[in-house]
Amino acid sequence: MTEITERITPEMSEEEVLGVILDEIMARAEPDVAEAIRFCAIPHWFNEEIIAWLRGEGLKPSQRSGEILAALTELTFVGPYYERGWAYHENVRDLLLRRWRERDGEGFKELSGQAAGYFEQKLGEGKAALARLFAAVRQVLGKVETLTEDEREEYRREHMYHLLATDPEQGFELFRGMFNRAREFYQLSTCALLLELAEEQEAHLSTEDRLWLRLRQGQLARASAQWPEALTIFEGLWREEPSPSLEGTLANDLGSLYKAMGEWERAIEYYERSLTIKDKVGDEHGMAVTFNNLGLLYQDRGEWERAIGYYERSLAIDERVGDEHGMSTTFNNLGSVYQARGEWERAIECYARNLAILEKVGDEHGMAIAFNNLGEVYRVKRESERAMEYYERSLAILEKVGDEHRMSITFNNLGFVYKDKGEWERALEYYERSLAIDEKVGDERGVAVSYNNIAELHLYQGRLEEAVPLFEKSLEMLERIGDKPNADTARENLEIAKQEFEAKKGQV
Amino acid sequence: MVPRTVKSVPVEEIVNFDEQIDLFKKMLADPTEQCLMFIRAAGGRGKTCLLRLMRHYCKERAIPSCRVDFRGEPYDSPHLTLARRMCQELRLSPRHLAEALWPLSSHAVGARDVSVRIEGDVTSSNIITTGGDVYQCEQVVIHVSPTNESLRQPYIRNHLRRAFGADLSELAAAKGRVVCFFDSLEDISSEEESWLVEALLCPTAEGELKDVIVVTAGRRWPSELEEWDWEDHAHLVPKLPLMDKQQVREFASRVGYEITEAELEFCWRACRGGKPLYMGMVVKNLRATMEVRP
Repeated sequence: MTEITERITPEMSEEEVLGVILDEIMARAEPDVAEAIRFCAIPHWFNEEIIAWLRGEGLKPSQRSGEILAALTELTFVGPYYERGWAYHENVRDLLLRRWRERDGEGFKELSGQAAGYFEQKLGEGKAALARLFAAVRQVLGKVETLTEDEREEYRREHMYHLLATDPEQGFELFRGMFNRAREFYQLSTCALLLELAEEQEAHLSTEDRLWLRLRQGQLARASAQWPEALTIFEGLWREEPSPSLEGTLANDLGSLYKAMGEWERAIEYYERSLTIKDKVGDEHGMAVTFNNLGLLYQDRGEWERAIGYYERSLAIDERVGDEHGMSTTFNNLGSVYQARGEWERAIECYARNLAILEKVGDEHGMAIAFNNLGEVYRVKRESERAMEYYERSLAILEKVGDEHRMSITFNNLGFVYKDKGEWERALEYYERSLAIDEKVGDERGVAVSYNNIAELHLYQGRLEEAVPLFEKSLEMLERIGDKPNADTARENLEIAKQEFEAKKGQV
Repeated sequence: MVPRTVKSVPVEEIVNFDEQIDLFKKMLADPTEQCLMFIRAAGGRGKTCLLRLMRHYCKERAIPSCRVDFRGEPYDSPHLTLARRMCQELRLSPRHLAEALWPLSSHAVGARDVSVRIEGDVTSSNIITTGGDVYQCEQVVIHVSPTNESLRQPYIRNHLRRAFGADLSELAAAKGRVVCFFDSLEDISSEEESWLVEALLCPTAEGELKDVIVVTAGRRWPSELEEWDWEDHAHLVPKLPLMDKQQVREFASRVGYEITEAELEFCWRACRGGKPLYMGMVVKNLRATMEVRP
């Protein structure tokens, strides 16, 4: 055997030296330990059970698997990995994987498939009847380890990771589903980790999937408000002449990014491009999304007619393809435009249709918001009883789900109803309940608005000595946090209160 | 060849981290010292080992410490999940955090009244409802879902950040010092990093969090380093020392070998001038299975 001393030369890179050392360690180890050193690089971490599984022993480790683990843990590049097991130093794992992929691509894939099988088994989500049978037998024997939700998530990620190497199409489908779900629930760190895992297996992905992966990176950067980074990624993708399907989504994402950056005209340009492309490839669902985005944009600009036009086009598609989630969102948006235009009946109709969908799909929290919106329309219509009925229904759910922020808003709205009815004491009671929550959760803006509302009640009742300092406090807070519209209102109110106060003093 | 058993000696016991450890000790002992230390070094230079040594030092002196490794573990809604994890490691009963999170906790679901009071101290505390129900603060914090929509509201995040800061400050006041270690900074997500900067690094730098020491280690600095004038507030450790030949000799001796000059030369060359990861692999693993001849 060539002496290692001769094989390490001063010209070698650090990685090459590491390779020589690793080769030598494996050459001198027992054959099954050497094999384990290699295959334990496949998962991000390992334990006795994983070693047994990868050695073909199933989930019941033999004594030898235990001995192999003991030998591995003696290696200085192996360290504990949380409470789950052991892991290689990243430099060593990266090198082992890279060399394995280069030298024995098929062997690497095969073992990745075995690793995927392990996590599938552990999750009990295998497609094979054998997996279910196996799980049932273990259950009967009382050997089912119940995974915590965090562990299940980790096992799902590992399953997806290994599948990306063995069955990239299925693996990427899993990745897409997991990423979208995490994004929907705003789990941005999970999104980042999923992307990192998929990037590790990028070599196995098709060119198209690699581009989709970069699109997700851009989406994550946008969701994290890292706009320059998102723009760099999106624009880079745009130059790579993506497939029409990807191009349509990318144009929509660029539109949303420019909208977030306040560049409305460019946002419209990209949304329209997205629509043209999606129309060409027949992506109806995607078109509904972009129509809705355009509606939001024109609503923000106060161009109601255009907003309504786009929402209606979005709705027409959602209804045709039966996308209830999309319909719910668009009905709500449409309702808010009609409400802003003072078209109460139409607003009520839209909110009620949204409510019916939310009831059907059992989205309680969404229902609470819809009840509040309906209450608000009836309040401005001066139908106090109906407004209160809806607010109460909203409150019942919000209390149940523990959404204090929205409870505070609804208490405030109830205060408005009683103020409109001239029931000052009850109005005060609700404003104070709203204020108590705002103070408790530290919502400065909410506190300032409540001060203003309470001061207004004092003003109406002629208690100017109490109104003036509260308006002042409200104004000071609103100016400090930069809420200009509400600060303007508080300032006007303060002026009125001061004038009346002076007039009153004059009379005296 | 006869396999030989080698003694388990962690490499970190040999690497000379005296300078870094001395600095850390100074930070602990001197209240006027900066309370932040950022360590940046390439892989295999012993960052994790150094943190382990520092934490061991804290444990020996009963200084509460926690260690968070960002490798492979996502902390969604870090103002809840990271704060919770740190409290668990510090054995800190999160009074303020529990009170702030009470409305979002599944214990509070269905409760008509939202006002609660807190009893206890930093090691054990309870939330007591006006109805007389008693819940451990730790349990209240655990029973909040990280996907709860309210957690996305900026003011709730600020509220939780302040509450966690208050808990940490109380622990520091009670115990004298609290140390937070963060490893694998290169794997941190942007939301985790935002929280780290806002909840810990800035308040510590500005003296808002008193007696709290934060040490980060990774292949990079905290990302906002350039935007802030950290050098005025933090000790920047831009590299870690390599092992010298004497330390290689000592390590070999500790794992059971009296190394010859020729072997020492070989090991020195193989571990690229004393890189700890390589050194450990060459001297301990390789030496355990083969005779190294010059």
